Amino acid sequence: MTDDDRMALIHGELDGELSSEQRADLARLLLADPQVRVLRDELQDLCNRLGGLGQSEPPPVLRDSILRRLPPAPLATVAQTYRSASFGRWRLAAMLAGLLTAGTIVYETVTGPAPAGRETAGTMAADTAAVVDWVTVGSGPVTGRATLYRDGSGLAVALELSAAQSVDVLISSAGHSFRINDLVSAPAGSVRRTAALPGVRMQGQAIELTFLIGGRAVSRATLHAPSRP
Amino acid sequence: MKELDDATLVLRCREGHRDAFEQLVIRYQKPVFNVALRMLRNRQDALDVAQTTFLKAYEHVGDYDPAFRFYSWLYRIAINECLNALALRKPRGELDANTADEGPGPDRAAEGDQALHAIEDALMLVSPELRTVTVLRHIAQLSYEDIAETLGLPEKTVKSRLHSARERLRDHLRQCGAI
Repeated sequence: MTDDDRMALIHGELDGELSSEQRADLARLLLADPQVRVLRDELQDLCNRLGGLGQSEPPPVLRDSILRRLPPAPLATVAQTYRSASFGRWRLAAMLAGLLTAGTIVYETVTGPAPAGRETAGTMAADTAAVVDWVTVGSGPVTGRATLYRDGSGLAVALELSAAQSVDVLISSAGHSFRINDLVSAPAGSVRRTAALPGVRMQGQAIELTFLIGGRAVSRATLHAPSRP
Repeated sequence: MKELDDATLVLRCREGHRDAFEQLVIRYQKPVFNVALRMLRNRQDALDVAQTTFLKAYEHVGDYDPAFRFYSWLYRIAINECLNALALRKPRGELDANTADEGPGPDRAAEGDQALHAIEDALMLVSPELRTVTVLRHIAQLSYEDIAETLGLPEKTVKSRLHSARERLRDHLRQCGAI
């Protein structure tokens, strides 16, 4: 019997997984080799100690804190809508195109290479959208959440915001900067809008969101892009 | 609300019933908190991780695949959050008093119990990868199958890691004269 076989028997006993035949093998082994017996006893002692660590009771504030911070509805609705066939990739792409052509998104590349065409076009078209990160925008005159999606070769951000005044959003990451004007149009209201982030690559970098009212920054949030494996 | 199984609660949660999610929080806050506590050995960090875990679970409940057990999915989020929190810490070896668990858990009721302190110390000395399987097995008391599902690993790999973890922990305890 090899060392590995001996160890497998000992661990199997600790996990209660031995057959009667294996238990008999282990019993013979323990009788024949005092070193194996010591090893088994030490590992048994270790498992008892691990079990003896017990379970701490979390403070009641944990549950209260979680429930207080729950957003109004699970993001599922957004993600499912985003992927939904009924909503349609074409409709989503058309929405993006409309946003671009209407000039509601002012795209300005501060530095860095221009985005590859396939990234701009492909971001909203792929049907494999996956949530990468999200952040709650929870203080100041702008509230809501921002969610970063990865789909296919690119990234997109979904903004669900409420504000009492017209809000612009500046999105910047690693030398690229996008501005979405009048995201929440005056008068007060809520909005859900998704925008592709052409040129923003998956390198684990931060994506900074700055919310502006009247040209003045009133709130900030940070999302983190994934690192492409 | 009567006692409903996880799958039903998740379904109701997806339909927008916040009270269903509250039931899941009540059901799993303790095991999730304890997994985080043993992964991080810091009560405040564990509370933060537990909170983030549930908030992310709620936010992304639409991504949950019912083919898997809900608690496996929840533990997976918790473990990822723990690993992120550990990655942000300074390298181990410079054992920082501030990272030690200061909370009065039941283990602390036996203040001065060197054996328990020794195992807590040893847990923090093994790699996060080995600590993860140890905590899921011995603290969360998951089966190999559940751990494999939680971590997305073959059962064989889970077993191998757990065996390595136990042997490393035993070595640490021997080195510090605890056994």
